[in-house]
Amino acid sequence: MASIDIKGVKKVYSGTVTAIHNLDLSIPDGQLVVLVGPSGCGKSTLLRMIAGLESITDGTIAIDGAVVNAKEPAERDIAMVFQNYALYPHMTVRGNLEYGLKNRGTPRDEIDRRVAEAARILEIEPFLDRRPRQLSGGQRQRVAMGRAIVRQPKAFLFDEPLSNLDAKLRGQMRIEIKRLQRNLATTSVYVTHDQLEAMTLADQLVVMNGGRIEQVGAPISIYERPETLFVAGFIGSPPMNLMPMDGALGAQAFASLDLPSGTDVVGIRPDSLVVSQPQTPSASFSGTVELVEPVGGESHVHMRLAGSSDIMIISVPGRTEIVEGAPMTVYAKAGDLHPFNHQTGKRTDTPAANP
Amino acid sequence: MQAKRTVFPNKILPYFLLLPQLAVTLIFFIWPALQAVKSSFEREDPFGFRTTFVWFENYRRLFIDPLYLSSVGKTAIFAFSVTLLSMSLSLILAVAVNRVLRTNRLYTTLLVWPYAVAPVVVGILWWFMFNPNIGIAPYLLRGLGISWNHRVDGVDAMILVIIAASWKQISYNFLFFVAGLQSVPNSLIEAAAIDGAGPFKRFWTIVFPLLAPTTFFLLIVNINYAMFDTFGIIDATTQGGPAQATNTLVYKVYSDGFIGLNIGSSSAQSVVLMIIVIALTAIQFRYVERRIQY
Repeated sequence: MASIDIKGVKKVYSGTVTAIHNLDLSIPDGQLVVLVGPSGCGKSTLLRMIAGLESITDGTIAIDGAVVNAKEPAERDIAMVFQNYALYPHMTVRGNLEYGLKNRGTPRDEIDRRVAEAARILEIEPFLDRRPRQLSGGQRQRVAMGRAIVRQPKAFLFDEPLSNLDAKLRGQMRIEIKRLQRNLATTSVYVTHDQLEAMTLADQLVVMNGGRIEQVGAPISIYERPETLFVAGFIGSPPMNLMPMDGALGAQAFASLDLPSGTDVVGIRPDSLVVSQPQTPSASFSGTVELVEPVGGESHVHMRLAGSSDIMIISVPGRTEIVEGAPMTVYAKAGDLHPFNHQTGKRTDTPAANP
Repeated sequence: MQAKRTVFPNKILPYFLLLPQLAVTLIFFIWPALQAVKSSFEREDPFGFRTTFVWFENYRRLFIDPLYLSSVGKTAIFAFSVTLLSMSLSLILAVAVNRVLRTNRLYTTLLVWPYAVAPVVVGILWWFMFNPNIGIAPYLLRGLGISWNHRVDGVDAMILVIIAASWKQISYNFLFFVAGLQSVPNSLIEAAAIDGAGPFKRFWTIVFPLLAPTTFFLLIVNINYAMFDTFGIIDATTQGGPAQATNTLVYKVYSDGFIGLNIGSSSAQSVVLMIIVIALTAIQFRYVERRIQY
């Protein structure tokens, strides 16, 4: 168990391609931190640098207070769960679990005790003498996690561990990983491109883009108050509506509202849009319903704004009476608007201005 | 819907299309093989006037002939050494190339060249380098105080043919090992690195076991090669000598039959070799194709 401190870390490939720019991040002891971002944002590179599988061009990474830049992966006392599980195909499940302990010269009875315990926790006892190829995807996933937990490392690193599973199993394993991490209270870094996985798992969510950190915080606070346009568009499903304020539409919709200066894009969550006009000051949008997607508990209405080619997505609870092709007007409370400047990509309302 | 199949309405056409391959196989493989089996049961008088059917007499004599039994021993030493030497060297080369992935195309191309060299040329090449009168190797060895003369020293002669035969086979093994190494997923190596295994341990506990199918395949191929395909190399370097020191089974077939003109014994020897080839091939198909798969 340990904290991980990343200071001014940079990764440059073959002298020209910068994958990570001067990144600072500190991961507190015992927390589950999720790195999320689109592919190519540097999240996997960062994880592999923590693991010692990639060299660090500049800056320092410290695990438990000790700088590990020059240490081999084996000396960093971390365990990693790979996307393709990376189980040793020629060993049994037991052999896979024991391998790391044997390499470290753990006494035999201690190995047996830890393997038995991990097998019990992950419910893989019946498969201990099988080979990985005789297991299903979900079972392999458990073995991969077992291989990490028997080591009792300072930190777990997860590299998109659920992306090879089907949707149902993914949801199930997500809950198990969270429960396991809670029980063991081992510092964990988890990389994913799936924002739902990121939201549900994270104690701390780190949104990355283009080799930089966009925002760090608790998942809900990031959802409620995205600091940048990128985060606003990336976190949340269906994604936030980002309405440009230039042109006729912006002027009329937001005219009555006192938006901070410099605002030229306004973000509105699909679930903040309502069909009945609220008492408080609000923006209103009119258009035609183009498509209704019922997803079960709620429906997503795609509305084409009058006099523009922009589509707005509105999330309405339950099955809706709204029919495709009908005219529609929706409202958003002033407090539910997220004002941005597209030049800087940042929010325009500073915390002081918006209590 | 079934997969589309071409159906020949003409019954004779398929056989006609197969004919060239069948003809080659029959004329150059089956027929000589049957001839060998037939003459292995016969004895011919010294002037070639009369052949008598002698049942297993040729075989019986073969297995009590000390020269033949010594040739079996030489062949075993030769095949074992060539297989070990060429496989271990090519594995080292393949691992080295696999580490420097960026430049490996050049290395791979260069390392494959020896395979394209004809066996006789390989023999001449090494014969020249080790020539006791003018060769560079004996000259250098003399500087180290080692006297080299494969014309009189049987051990020297054996070392020479082993080196020549191994050198030629390294390319072939190397190609298969490189392909095998490339198919070991990188994440396995990384997982082992995180699991606390150093480079050597990673190689012996992860990479080498995963190469087992390749290694086993090459083992059979190399034994086959050393036992049967090295005729040209031996003929160009030592011609089985000195004093039978490098007279392997396949070379003995040639020297007894074509030099010694003992057709019956030579045929019996080639039938024995045929049986060994069939056995090795059977092992290869039975185990390589099925057993070792991950």
